[in-house]
Amino acid sequence: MGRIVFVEVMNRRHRVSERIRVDSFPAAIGRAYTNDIILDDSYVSETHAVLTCDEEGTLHLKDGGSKNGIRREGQSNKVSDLEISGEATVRIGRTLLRIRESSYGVTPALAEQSQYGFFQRITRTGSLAFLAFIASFVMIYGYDFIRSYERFSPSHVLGSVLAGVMLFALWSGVWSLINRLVAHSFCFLKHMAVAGVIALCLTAAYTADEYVLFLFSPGYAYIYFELAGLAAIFAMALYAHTAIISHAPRRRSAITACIVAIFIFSFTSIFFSLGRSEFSRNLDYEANLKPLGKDWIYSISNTEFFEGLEILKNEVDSMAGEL
Amino acid sequence: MACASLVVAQETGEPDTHEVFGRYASRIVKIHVVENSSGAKATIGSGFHVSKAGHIITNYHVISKIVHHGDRYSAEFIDSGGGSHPLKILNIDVINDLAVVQSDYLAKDYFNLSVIDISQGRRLYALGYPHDIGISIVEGTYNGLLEHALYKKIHFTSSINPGMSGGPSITSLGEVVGINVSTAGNQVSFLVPVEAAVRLYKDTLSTPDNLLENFLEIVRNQLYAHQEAYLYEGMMSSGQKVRLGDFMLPSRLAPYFKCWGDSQQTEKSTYSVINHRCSTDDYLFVSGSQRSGIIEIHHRLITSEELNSMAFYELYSTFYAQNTSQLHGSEEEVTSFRCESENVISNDIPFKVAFCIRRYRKLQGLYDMVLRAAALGLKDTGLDTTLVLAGVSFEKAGEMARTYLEAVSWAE
Repeated sequence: MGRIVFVEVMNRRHRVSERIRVDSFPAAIGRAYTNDIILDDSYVSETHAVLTCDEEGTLHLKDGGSKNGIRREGQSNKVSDLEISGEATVRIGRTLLRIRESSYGVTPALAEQSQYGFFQRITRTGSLAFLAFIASFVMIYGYDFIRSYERFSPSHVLGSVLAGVMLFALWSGVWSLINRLVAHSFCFLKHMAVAGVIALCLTAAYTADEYVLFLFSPGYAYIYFELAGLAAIFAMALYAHTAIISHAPRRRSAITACIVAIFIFSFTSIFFSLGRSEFSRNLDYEANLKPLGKDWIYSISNTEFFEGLEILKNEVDSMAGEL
Repeated sequence: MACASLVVAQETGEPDTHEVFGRYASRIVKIHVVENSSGAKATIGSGFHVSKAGHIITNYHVISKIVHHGDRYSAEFIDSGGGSHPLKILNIDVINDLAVVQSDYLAKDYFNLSVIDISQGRRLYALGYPHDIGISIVEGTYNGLLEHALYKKIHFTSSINPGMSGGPSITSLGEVVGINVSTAGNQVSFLVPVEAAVRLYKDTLSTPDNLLENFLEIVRNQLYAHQEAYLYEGMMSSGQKVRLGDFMLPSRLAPYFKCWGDSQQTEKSTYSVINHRCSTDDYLFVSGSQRSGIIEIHHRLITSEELNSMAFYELYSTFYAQNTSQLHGSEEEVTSFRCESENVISNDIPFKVAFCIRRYRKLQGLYDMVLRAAALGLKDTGLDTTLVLAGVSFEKAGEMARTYLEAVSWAE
């Protein structure tokens, strides 16, 4: 069996764009149609180079009287005869060629990651997805109902539940339409399940946030932490919905979602800090109150509180000079 | 009515209104504050001559635009013949809402200012230019000094209208009793007692001109000295208390406070609210959109028997989030509010407290303060309380807020 060599044409990102099998030598490389390997590159001569195999079985790439010569990758001097042992990458005109013998060893295969993340698991079947949505919906509205201080009225409750269902249906509907455009199926229930779980996460995060605000009064800068949390949940939603739509690698969807989240975070942060510098007669203080017993509330003494207000004075004093 | 007043006039031997008018109208002037670039009137008011040298007394609020924006406005007075003469501010008293201005016009006729003693029920005549429609005279009765007022004022039963501000209210003999300043509608009007004008005028004569130039600085100093004096130590713990639920709360801190209370509970609502408000009922005019020298207290007791604690605290939070005080002020005059919030324990009661202040931009060292506090730890009762102070130093604001919170306690 004769010798087999592969000539690979590389693109700008160093990925193989064309692979040519060579099993008879010499093999001519150039722009003319008389060549064995034809390169469509204006800087390549008609017959540019020849791939040969000498008596000892050594592979050579020789200049075939070209205008621009042969260069090793990353080097500027021309070579007229290049000995190839195993592998070589050369530039001919503006084309990058990688020449490899068939005996070239490749790296072992990578282990495949699990196909199913949390969202894929709960949305694997339609009924499971529907159940996930109902569970989330009941939890969200149950919590809302417990906290409602209006007198119970069936029409009011029905109204708010219907409004909630509509909102979820609208959100999931938009995603389903995108799904249909990209992948020829709607997957409505799957999107609904994702929406439900995300809304549940949002409710949980919001409640936790209220308690943090109530207990620790963390000050204005905390809003950036809240915005970051909100952006993260949004990224999660985006990731979960896109994972249903396409089978693109999970890492790529995650990166896309993160970029979108960072964008949202920056945008809302700028928006909020600009809003704070606007003149207003409103009092902007933390008004969350929670039914915790006295022993559960972290508090400072009256004197301690009023001694620590100098920063506030400095802040309004510095604002007085602006305008 | 005409017959009745005629009878009274005959009995007391007082002259008719038209005689009073004929004798003294020429001493009254119309004051215009004019926007320089357009030459249009921005404020109109009245004033009166008090010296041959052209001294005129008017209200501070008539000429306040010049104090704040001397570069944009100027004042002039229109004499009875229609001629206009530029005015220069000589002195102001922002606490009593008075100003002394002067022109180079030599007055033929003027009032001699002096402190006089008159009795309740005495007939007075208010003079001025209401609504820029020509000089008017309004009859009314002197009803003494306001009984409980932070700012000394005469209760004058008559109708003073906008534009008459700065004009005098006189007896039939031409003695100035007070300066027209404001009205509460329905024949209830207020005058600044003449003593304040006498004091300011004497002070003006004894002070060299060049000492009084930066009037904003004077406004600032007067407001600062005023708050130092009327907000005294121990104010919050003295005075009347009110009991709401299990709480004892500061109420009528001083005799000049007015208090109101009400309660709301409807069949449909799941909770009830008791309101208790006290305030100084009067204010100092600083500028067209800024008032100062105000103390306001507002307590709300929110209770519910049927709500669970989670629902009750949702309700309580919405109450606590409302700001029921209405402090005005434009962006040119005040900064935005900045608040500091914390859980604070005072008198064994845990509170959520927010201390909010904003600064007067042009009046250094003066602030508006709003203290919001909500008592915590009870399952079905909430106490939401507010203290508002306008035009105070930062130290006073802190001290008053701290002692206010200390004055809230459990009822025995």
